[in-house]
Amino acid sequence: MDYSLEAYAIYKNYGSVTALTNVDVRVRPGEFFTLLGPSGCGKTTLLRIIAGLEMPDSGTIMLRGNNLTSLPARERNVNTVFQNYALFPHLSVADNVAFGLRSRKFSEEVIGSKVHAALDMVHMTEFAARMPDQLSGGQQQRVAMARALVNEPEILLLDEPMSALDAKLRTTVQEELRQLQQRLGITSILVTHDQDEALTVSDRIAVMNKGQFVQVGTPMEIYERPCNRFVANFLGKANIIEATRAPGGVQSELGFLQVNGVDWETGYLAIRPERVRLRDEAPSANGVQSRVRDAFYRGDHLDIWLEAGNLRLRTAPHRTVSRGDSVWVELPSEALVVLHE
Amino acid sequence: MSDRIIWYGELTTSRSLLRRGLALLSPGMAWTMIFLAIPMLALIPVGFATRGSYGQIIFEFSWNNVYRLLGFSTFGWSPDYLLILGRSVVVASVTTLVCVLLSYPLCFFIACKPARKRYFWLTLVIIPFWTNLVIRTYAWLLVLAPQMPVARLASMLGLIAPDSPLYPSPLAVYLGMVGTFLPFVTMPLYANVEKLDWSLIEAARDLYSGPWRVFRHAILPQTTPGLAVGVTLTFIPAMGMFLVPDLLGGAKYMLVGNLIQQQFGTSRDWPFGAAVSLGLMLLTFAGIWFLRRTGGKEALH
Repeated sequence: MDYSLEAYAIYKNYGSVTALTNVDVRVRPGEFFTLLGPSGCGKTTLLRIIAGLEMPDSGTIMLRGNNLTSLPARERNVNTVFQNYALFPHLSVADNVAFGLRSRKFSEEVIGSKVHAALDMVHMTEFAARMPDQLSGGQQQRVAMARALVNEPEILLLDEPMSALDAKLRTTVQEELRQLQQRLGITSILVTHDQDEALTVSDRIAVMNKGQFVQVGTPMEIYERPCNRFVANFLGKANIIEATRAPGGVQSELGFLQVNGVDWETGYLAIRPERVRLRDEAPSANGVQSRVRDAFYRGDHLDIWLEAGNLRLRTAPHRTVSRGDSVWVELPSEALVVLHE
Repeated sequence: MSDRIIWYGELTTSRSLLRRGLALLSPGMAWTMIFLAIPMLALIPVGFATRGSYGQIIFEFSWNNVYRLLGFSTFGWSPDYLLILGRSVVVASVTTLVCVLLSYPLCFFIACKPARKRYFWLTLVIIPFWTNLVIRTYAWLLVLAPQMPVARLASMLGLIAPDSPLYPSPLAVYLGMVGTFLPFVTMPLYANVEKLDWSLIEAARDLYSGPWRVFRHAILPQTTPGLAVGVTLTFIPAMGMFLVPDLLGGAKYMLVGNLIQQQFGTSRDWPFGAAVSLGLMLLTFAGIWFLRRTGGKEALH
């Protein structure tokens, strides 16, 4: 399989601080690849190394099979949408979008039509003559997208481009970004610490922690089958259950639980709150009876906090469950994830 | 009592606010009027007066001083005074330019140091201020003296005659001028460079810019305010500087500052001195206007 971008054994230190340790990345053509992790995990550093704004201490970066490890940013056919958009305040929207084309000395005619097409793509044509400070945050973000896309880069790099937008707008922009990326078929790498964003837009997600990849996979793989406690907790909410192996399953403070594929003596299981099922009577297996510590009505769902094992569960809001009730829940064995490390 | 307003939590009237404002302003305004505005206005009548035979000022309106400054005299036309004015413009412009060219790398050098160490480097920039200008200028005489390494190297290379100093010379004047004015450009420029939004530089690099385009679009617009202050603080006093060219430039490298000093001093021709001062002021205003106009265009682009 041919890759659009390959990076091998990337190391980067800032003095005594380790930013990246032995990171390998392979991104397929047309893929939307997301680097997800907490702040300081090295995700932005990796993006900047790919952009050429930072040099790795060691390692190799290949773009469509060409080694560009030592090339400066301006000789790499990748473009970045920066976190604060970094629009030139003294240039109009059109001149901002034209910036990369002018650097590469395109004729003004070509620039004019390309800029128009790019602004059209992000629905900003009527703002071409405006200055950046006359635009809203969402509009600036669109201009930054157009400014990167107009150069037809091999890879579009997105450095937390939605972190400055308010929550409601962010959801819309995420969906638009995904649609635009699909329509153009452009290979994209997104850096974010927002798990919803990662799940919404990505083909594949690399979860990073402490300068390393922890797990790489599709959003569903990462969410449904987290490999360890870090991933389980970082993406969504998870109940973590400490357990010891027993024949046919594990023994835990919730009693015996049927689960397949346990390959350790003592370790952890994870189960998503929405996979814990509320039952009217004792289920045939993996049942737990507990008093309700607290219940929170959230409109479209109900969050229940049980006394047994501090379990949290999420269910449809039709049931009336309140503090102090005694309930049965089932932890279906197919929803229990065996964690490693 | 509709005039009552609340001003920072105080119930007052706009009239009493105005009175208080004027009272607070008046010392500063009085100082400026007495020691700056009135003497400058006094230059105008003096500049069009005539020198009496004993050096006294005779208030008889005449254009003679203007004609003389433009080079006309009883012995025909000579460009001496115009040359001095022109040379002053050149020296002030070159000094400003060199200070700017030196300040940019210096500011970036300091701004890239860890925050604690920046003050050390900034102090080094300011230290020359702690020394009197005369002493600093004499120090240059010492540095450029025949026995010192710089002059010896120059004579070894055959640039000057053996055992001769590097002064008086235009080079010495520029050394002194740049040494004097460098902090005036570096300090305001540094204030901008320290707060620079580096993501714009990265955006320019990401969009295929070479060094010049990065400077032109990512650094220059962000440092224009500091640059304007620095250029103004350098160009204006550099136009009128007389001490440095007097000590380091010698009689053959006279600048307008020296000419004015001579008229008010040894020549005892106050009317002509005043006329030259007015000419200098006009030239300075023209220079600032020119800088603002080109600077304004930059900002508009």
